[in-house]
Amino acid sequence: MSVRLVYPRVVALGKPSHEPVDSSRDQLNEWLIATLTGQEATTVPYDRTIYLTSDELVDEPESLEKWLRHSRVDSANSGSSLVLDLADNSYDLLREPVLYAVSTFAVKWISGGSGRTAAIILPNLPAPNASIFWLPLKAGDSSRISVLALDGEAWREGRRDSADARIASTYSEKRSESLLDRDSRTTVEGRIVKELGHFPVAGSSGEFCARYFFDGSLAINEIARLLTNKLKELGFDEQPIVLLTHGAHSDWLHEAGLLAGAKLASKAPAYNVTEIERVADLVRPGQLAVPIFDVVNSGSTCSLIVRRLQESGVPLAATVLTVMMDRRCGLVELPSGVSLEDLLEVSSKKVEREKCVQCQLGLPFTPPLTADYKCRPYDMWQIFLSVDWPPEDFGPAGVRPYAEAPHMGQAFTEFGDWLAYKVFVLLRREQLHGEIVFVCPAEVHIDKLMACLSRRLLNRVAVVRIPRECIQDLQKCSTTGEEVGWKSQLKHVAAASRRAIIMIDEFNGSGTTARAMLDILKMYDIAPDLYVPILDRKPEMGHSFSVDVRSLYEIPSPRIQ
Amino acid sequence: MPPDSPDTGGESRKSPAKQIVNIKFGPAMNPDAARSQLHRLASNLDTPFRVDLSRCVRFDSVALLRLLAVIAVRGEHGLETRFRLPGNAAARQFLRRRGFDKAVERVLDVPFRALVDGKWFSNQDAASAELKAFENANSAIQAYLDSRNFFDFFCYDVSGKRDRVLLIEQEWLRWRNPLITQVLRDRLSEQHAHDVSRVVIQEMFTSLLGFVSGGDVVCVTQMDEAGSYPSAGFLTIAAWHAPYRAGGALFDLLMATIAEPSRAKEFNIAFVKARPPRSRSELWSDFVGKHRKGGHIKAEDVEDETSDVAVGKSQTEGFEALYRFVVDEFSGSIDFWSGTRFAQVSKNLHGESHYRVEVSDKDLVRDTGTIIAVRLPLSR
Repeated sequence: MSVRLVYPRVVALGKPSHEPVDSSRDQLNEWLIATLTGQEATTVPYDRTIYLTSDELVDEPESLEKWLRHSRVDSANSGSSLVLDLADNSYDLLREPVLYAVSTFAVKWISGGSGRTAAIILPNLPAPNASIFWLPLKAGDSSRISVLALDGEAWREGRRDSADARIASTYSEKRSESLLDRDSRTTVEGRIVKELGHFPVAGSSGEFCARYFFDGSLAINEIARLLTNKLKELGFDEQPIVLLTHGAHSDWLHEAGLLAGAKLASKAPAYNVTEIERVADLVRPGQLAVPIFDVVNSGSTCSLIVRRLQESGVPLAATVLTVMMDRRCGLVELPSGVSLEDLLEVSSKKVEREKCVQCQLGLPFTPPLTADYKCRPYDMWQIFLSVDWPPEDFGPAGVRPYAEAPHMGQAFTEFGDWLAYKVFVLLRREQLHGEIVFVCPAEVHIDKLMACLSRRLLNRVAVVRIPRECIQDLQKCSTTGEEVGWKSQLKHVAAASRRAIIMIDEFNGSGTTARAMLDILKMYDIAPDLYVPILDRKPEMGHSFSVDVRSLYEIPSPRIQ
Repeated sequence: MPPDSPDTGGESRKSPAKQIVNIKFGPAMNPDAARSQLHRLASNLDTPFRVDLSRCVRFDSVALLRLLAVIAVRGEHGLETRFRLPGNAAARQFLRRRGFDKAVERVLDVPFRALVDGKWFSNQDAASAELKAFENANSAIQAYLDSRNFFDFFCYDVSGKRDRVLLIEQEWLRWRNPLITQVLRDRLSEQHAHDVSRVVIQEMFTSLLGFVSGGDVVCVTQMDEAGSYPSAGFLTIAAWHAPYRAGGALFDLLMATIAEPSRAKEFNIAFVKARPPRSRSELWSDFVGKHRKGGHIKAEDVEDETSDVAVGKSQTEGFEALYRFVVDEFSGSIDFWSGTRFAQVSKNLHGESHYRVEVSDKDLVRDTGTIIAVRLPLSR
């Protein structure tokens, strides 16, 4: 039996540039086409996404057809298969004219050869009676087109197809194994941002300071899901209950509580009781109240609130919930008849006020989710001192590497989301909205931060990774010659009308890398909006760059030339 | 505080020639009930008026949006429009908390307080609704969204080159909030709640803003329980775009979309007290021609109305998706006031065609920009 050729095209919407496509998808696509067609399949590689910018998404969604044609799929022989993969995009982003362009293209493409087949991968199947996506498929010959959704639904020849649906389910599982598991932050723990600072914590047994503030605002859906499961496990699915959320600075907790209540069969309402006195008035006869806390450290606040609720006549459930619990604090005793259950275990490093080093140093308290992008020395040094200090392994040629430098890869693994939040705050302060292009050296450490930033910016970013050998030898960066991915990206970025370009690096030591990257960008007629070294070890040279420099932290420590 | 005066106020006291005419609105202010008052306000551009809301008890946000459009045109002509606030505390609170006063300030560039005769808002009007026991999770979520200004009047300046795209992104982001999605899942469609942000919001704003840059956009969302007043029981999403003299564009988009041969047979078009326009769209001209032969449209009735904007393929596709989702998926309707016309797209309940488009000039008010309002019925 002949081998079927697979032409995969990954479509990315609302992006400022194309991005590389990982070759690990090839195997998945080959499995999919082989399963759908019963023929062995092999990929004709295509290394980049087909993208539409936000402007194109609004003004020229139909141009997707043009870009797909431009990607050299028309030369495919009759025994080929096209995989149009749109499933990396948020479903909300798939404008109907875009979907229409996709199905129109697929119908036209299969008509180019009697053996051609196509698979369209979507996050969800659009509404069968309303979406214009289906019109070209219903109007033309679509017997060789399968539409599969990651939720395990599938469509073929004008109706839902159970055989393809089974394939869609398996495909979806395989896809999450091969693509998503590489990012540990798809878990709820990974989406809770651990902010460093100096946070006052009041408790019945005295005053404390916490080292971390936990922000769950990027994980509302996930926390709501955990809460719903826990409430069902406790037998509250159909029982009349109300949820009482308690957590200053934790809007996310109340939002997760509201969502969790709505997902119970009883449709339990949630109240934020952090500052409410007459809670008993909110609980109707026959209802039980389930208090939910954001973080329980020693449990003193939790205990105090539960006691107050009991005293004010609120009929409490026997179980109180907390999203996060720090077991290292030693839990104070809760009022009798009440037990506490947690969803996630954390460490907030809470200490008694008199033992708090930051208090002893006279450091003021920090407001949670501060709008200041600069990192405090105390926080940055905690990060630096918590990671290894190996000899510098990346760096420009011609300058002596640092004999010891903080391992920024480790720092980004542990604190990347917090540092990404700081960069996000900086971008807001600089009024850099819309699509963001990050330009950085192609190095594994900074890539970890890029993953955090991409998540923070709803995946509407593009990252241009310039290989170190090109940064060291500008002759390799010529705008002509071999069209490698990053060069092509820069050409697209130069032509894009709405984007902010941020040069970013783990640190600036001698300015050599930054200058080289600026020179490269200049070759492509690109003037970046900002240069952000996370750590600037030569801050005094900021004025000598042809771009504004904003670092998150500075340690004057020049390299030896 | 401006003096309380029954029928005169402000400048009119000093100058008898500028006698203010009081226009009273009824207890339930919706587009139908307010039609004659709005028409009077808009068509007497040499008369100073006071919008008297003192009897109002309930507001439909689309009627308030139309009022904004009309007073903005009066402002363009240098005419002041004064106000009297509702006597009903809940109605006053509605205006204050939803930011209607700020929207008036935005379109007129005058402090609202300087335009109000009689009683001003009280402190309670600005306060958040008192926390009460909620019926269920959805009412708790709606109250929370309300406290986070979700149902407020939002004003956008779209005079910059890319403001249009930013507005659409902003609104898309607002509507993909998990809490509103949860409410829509329970009260609109379990399976297709996401299609409100994905389709309705994106295509509504793309259709509204697709042609003309510049001006301001004011948008508002309303979600009232069925039975609370006649037009309640709907999720209403509405927006007004105010380049005043380019208001016919959305109507042309409608015409170009439904005149497409593949779609034309799906529509029953009724011109109620209105003459069918001759559109710049060739498709529409053909369409008119065919219907003329069939006796539906008489040649002498065709009004010559042209504008200089071309309708693109993706715009008609987007508009088609909008009415298919609104009418077929969510059983709702689309109203719009565009140029000199009002049009409504809804399900055709009689006859073979699937959709009904009713066009009328009953709301004829020239040069007030374009308003689009999507109404989606909510289940309990």
